[in-house]
Order: sequence, then C-alpha cells, then structure tokens
Amino acid sequence: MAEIMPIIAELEKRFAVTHIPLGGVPSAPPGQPAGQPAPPAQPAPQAFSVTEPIVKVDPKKILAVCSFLAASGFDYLLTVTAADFPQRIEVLYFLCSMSGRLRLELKCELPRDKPEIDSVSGVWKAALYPEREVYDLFGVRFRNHPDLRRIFLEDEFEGYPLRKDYTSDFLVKMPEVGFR
Amino acid sequence: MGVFGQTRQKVMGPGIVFAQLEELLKWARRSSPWPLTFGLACCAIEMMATVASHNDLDRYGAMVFRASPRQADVMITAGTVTYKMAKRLRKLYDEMPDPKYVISMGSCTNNGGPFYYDCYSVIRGIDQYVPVDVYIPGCPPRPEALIYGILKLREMIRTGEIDRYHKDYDTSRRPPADEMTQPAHNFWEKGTWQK
Amino acid sequence: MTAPETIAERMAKDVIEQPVRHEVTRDLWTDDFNVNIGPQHPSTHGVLRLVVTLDGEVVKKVQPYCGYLHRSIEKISENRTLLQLVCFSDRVDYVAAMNANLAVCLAGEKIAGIEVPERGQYIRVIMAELNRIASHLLWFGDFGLNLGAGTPFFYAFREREQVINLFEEVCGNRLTYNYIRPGGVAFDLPEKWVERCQSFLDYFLTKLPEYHRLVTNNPIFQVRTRGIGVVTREEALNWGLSGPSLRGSGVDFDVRRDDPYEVYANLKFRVPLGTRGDTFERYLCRMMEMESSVDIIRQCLEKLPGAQGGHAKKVSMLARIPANREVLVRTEAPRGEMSVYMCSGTGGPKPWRVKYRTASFANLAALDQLSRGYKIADLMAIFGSLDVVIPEIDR
Repeated sequence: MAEIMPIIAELEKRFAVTHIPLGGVPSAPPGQPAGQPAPPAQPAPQAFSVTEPIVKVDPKKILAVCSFLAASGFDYLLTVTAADFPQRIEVLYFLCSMSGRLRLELKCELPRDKPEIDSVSGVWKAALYPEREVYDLFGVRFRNHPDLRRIFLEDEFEGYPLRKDYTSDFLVKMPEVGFR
Repeated sequence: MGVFGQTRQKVMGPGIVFAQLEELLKWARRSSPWPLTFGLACCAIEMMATVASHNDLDRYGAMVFRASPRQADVMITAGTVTYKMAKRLRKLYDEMPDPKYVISMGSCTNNGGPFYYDCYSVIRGIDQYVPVDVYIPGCPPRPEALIYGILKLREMIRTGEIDRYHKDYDTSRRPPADEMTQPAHNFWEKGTWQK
Repeated sequence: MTAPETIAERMAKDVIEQPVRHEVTRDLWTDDFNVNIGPQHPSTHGVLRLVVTLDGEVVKKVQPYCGYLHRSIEKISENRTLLQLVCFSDRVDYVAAMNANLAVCLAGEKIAGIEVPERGQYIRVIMAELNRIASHLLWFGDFGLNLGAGTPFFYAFREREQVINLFEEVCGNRLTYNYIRPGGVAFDLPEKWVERCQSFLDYFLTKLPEYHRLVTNNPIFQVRTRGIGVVTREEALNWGLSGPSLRGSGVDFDVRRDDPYEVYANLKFRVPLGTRGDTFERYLCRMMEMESSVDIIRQCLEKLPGAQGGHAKKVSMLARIPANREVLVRTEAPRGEMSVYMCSGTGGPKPWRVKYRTASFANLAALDQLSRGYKIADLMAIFGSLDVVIPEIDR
C-alpha cells in the first residue's frame, strides 16, 4: 500500500485525479456539542473499494494517465469493465504490476446519453476484447479502437442489455416468490 | 426370442433367418446411432464422460461421433443453445439425412434451464426449432441418464413409435434457418409459426 | 535444397531456437484462403468460430468469433442474492466449478464482511485443488485429441472419474457442484472421506509417470509442440495472459502465492515456471501443477482442523450487502486468473453489478498473434495449450 502512494501523489499532481483510498474516507466525527451551528450537509457517500485504491480520472485524460501508469510499472491490465448507474455509466480499469504486486482501480464517469472515451488498447493490448465487450453490452464507444464491433451478441441486436433500463419482449423477469 | 421378435422371423436352419425388411432396418438403425458432435456446454463434459471407459457408450454403438451432419443419425444437443447458435442448430438439423433423431440433453435444451429468467440470449428449449424425440432432464444429467435416454430412443425405434411420430410431425410448423429473424419466445401460445 | 532430416536427427539437434516462421516464395500467384472452423467443430472445445486466413497451409490471420454461448450470466446475477449467485458461477467455468464458486463466494464475503471458519477455509482449498487436478486432466485429454491422439483422453478420464466420485460423495453433483457457499461450504466432509482422498492421491502419483511416458517423451509430440506458439515475457504481460500461459513465458506470478487468499499463506508449494514460452513449456507447467496440487492437498489434509470449528458460518439467505462498496477478488483458477468484481450500488441482498474476469477471455485475444506464421495444424496445438473453455469467454 505504501509503495503506491507516491504514484497516486504524482497522478494527483499531474492530472488532477481524485483518490478514494482503500476502505474509504473516514466519516465526520459524531456528536456535535450543543449550541454549535448545524454542520454543513455531507456530500453524497462515494463508493469505495475494499481491496484496492480507486483513482477517479477525467475521461478526457484517461489515455495520458494510462500511458503514465504503464511507464511507472503497471504493466498488466486485468480488465476493462463498466457499471450502469442512474445518472452515469462508470468505466473501470483494473491495473496491477506483476513485479511490485501493486493494485489500482481507475474510474471514469461518463454521461448516459453519449458515453464516449478513448481506447487504451494502444497501451495494453489486453484492453482490445474487454472494450469490445463494454461497447456490446453498455454502448460505450471507444475512440481509436482498431475493431469496435459487437462481440457476444449478433450484429443485428438492438439495445445494450447490461444497462439497467434495458427491456425486451424476450426477457422474462424472475417472479419474486418467497422473499419478504 | 430372436432379434426381430418371435412372430416375425422363421429360422430355417443354422445361419438362415427370414424377417421383414423393416425389422432389419430398425435393427440396424437402433444398434448404431451415430451422434453428431454437438457438445455446446457443461452437458458436453458429461457426454464425454459417458464416452470414456467408465461408462462406455461404445456398447450401444453410439461412440462413433461424426463431425459432419451428413454422416450422423442422432443429434445429441448437449448444452445451452443461445439465439446466435439456434440458426446453426437448425441448419445442421436440416443437413442431416433421414432418418434422424434428436435427443435433447440437459435442462438448458429442454426448456432453458437455469437461464429461463432474466436472460436475453438463451432460447427456452430447442423444441421451438427442431423436433425432439427424447428429453433427458438434469443439470447436467449423469452419464447413466444419457445412457437411459439412448436406450429409450432404441426402444422407440424398435417398436416403431418413432416412425409414427415422425409421420405426424409437421416441419412447416417450425421456421427454417433462413427465416429465423427473431427468437421464438411464445411458440406455444402461437401454435404455428406465422410469417 | 538440403536433404530432409529424420525426426531422430531433429531431436538430436535439440530444441528449435527460433519460432518456425514460413516464408513462402512466390513462383506462382496464389490467393489467400479463408477457412471457417465453425461453431460446431470437434476441436474448438465448445462453440467458438475461428475464421482462419491461410496462405497455403500457413496461417496469416485468425479471427475468433465468440458469443455463441453468451448466457448473460452477469445480467442474471444482478437479480440474484449472494447464495443464488453461486449456482451461476458453476456455469461460468464448468470444468473447474469449485474454483469459480470460490471466487464468487470470496467476493460476496469480502463485500459483506462475512468471516469463514478455518475448517471451512481448508475444505475449500482442498476442493479447489482437487478441481484443479480434474480440470488439468480434462485439458490433457482434450489436448491429445486436438493433436490427433485418442489415448490420453481415456487415461485422463479414468483418473477424473475418481476425483468426481470424491466430489459426488461430498456434494452430490459431478460437474456443477454449488458446494462452496458464502460463509463456508454447504456440507461437512462425510465419514472417511479424508482416507479416500489420501488413497486417491497416492494412486494418482503412480499414474503421472504413465502420462509422461505416453505423451511427454513421445518424439512426435515433441516436434509438434516445441517452438510452436512462442510468446515473449513482455508480450504475455501486455496481452494479459495468466496462469500457466503466463508462467510458461517466464513471468513468475501465481495469485495463490503472491496475493494469497484463504489459507494459501500457510501452505508451501512449488509453482512451475517455464522459460521459452512455447506450447511445450505451457504443457509442462500444467502437468507439474498437478503434482503441486497433490502436495497442497496433502498439507491441507494434515492441517485440517477438527469439526468443532464448524464448516461454515451461518449466513442468512438474504444477507445484506452494505451500500457503496466495491470489491475485486483475485483467485488462481486452473486456466489462469479468475477475478470477480462486485459492486453494491444502493445495498440490499442483491449486488448491483457482478463481473467475472476470466482467463480464457484474455488468452483468446492473444491467439491471433500467437499463431501467425505457423501451420494450421499448429493452430490447434496452440489453441489447446492456451486451455480455453468457451463459457469463460462468453459468460
């Protein structure tokens, strides 16, 4: 954990990223003494990871950040994936370094109506197929990807199934039986 | 009791048997059902285990797996069939020469199996696309279950039940491969495939 | 033109140092030929379509088309509780279902903060390693079939049946076990199972030399696998290969040893490492991993705590996952690294997003580059050595 802090500090300096440490930010101390003004409204709680530090990157800078990280020793890209939330689509990159056993997660938030981001397949070839999968299932377009087309579903398929608002006649929802 | 049933054969002497041609053909067909290699998913591993030496499928003449549908008799669909694969399934079925049989092995091919709910790509049972003769339940079915299914198929061939079934079967109820433009979800409600 | 050399002479010269890249001289104009190794094919280990562009017999390009087994397991998982997820993880990698179960259960436990008792952890490691042996045996049989040899298949399945009988005694199923659950394991070990496992391990170690005599030392096998499908260290890391495919190229990384989970930190085991990165090294890595697994299981059986610790912690069927949490759990499945990413958006009994990072998906992406310049028969050898199962690709 300590070895990764200089790299994160460098990232924060160069690319203005946000760092969410492993285990999350400690919440405000409880119990205000009486007579004090009410504390300012807490910001919406951010998701943190239990296993690795998260670095939130501006989608416009993702290629620069990834090139920097690849040069700093993160030579292995585990996978590229995405998660669909009500207001945004998050694209996640999981990196690790084989020699130093470091782990890192990059998070980019994209708007739901037009999700576009640069492809990092120039930096790590391991991103080629996962980016196609994210395009297929979420609809995120990766610029400069050499071969961006659907990978799992047939080419005539309409819609992006892993989005939460995907509906189709063909899908049958599981009936909620027995759960209270 | 001989191979062809006591009433239908007359043994005229050592090595000479009279029987109806149909009985001979049925004997040949049920004793050597050559399957098409159509292992798709988990059930394929159990099919391989049935072929291996512990549960020997060679005893039933069914171990000669042919890769080409033109040389196969029975298509043992072992594994989940997605809509992308269903067109190929139908095409391969059409390419098999008569008489052909289909054994649907496993829950996924019977009716969709564990992927019935919340799934946008798995078809709910291959009997919407090809006519099935034997359904083997299980997830995955044990090798003994697959052997029982093959024995059931042999029995159906021997009694002639399968020929009567195939005469009633109407191929036009199911769309050919070229016309399969969307998955047939409510086949049973609609009854016949409507263009 | 030099005189053709016999296999004996070739073997005497030892290993081919450079990859065999064929340069075809053009005396006559030829066209490239596209061969479709279709979704239904005995060699593709399931439903995978490869469109191979050939120049004569030399492979110029391989385009895999996957998705014929896309069962939308990730979409289904968003509507299932932690306990119900395990059943689907079986189908993600059915050859090594225990490892897949383990990965998903670790993710659920980490995100919900569930502790597993020690006996449960040891039982899980035993099952995972037994399943590694079973999976490598299946791979060994299929690898022989890919190369055209029918005998290793029957030998491998003879031993695999014994492992599967052990699994059947424990959980009742032969292939999709659904045994490792969040909180521990489903049932405790039956009576005398430990003795039966020990006797299987002793029996298995006497059979491994048979495989080496049959396949590894076979001169035809050596010529077909040495120097084929070479991948360098840097390329392997860049492509994201993992498991024996990565270790065959000289990268010394094993999640069990370097990022340990469960009780792997208490165990001592050897991780085989290759140097040349060709098909033969990957093959040898897997064969030696089987011996290493036997070692691990023996240590676990010795250290297995008594039954008073309990085999599982009681976890409610509707165990709640706290909101705003993410987790990425890395495990070493027989194919390579299997990681599960779980995210709980607003909390509740069901996760918001589950993602399986499987080794076969990454290994398949490298197939194109690995097989350029080799012959089409070598393509099957390379594909077999990457140990790809299709549901891991398509999920």
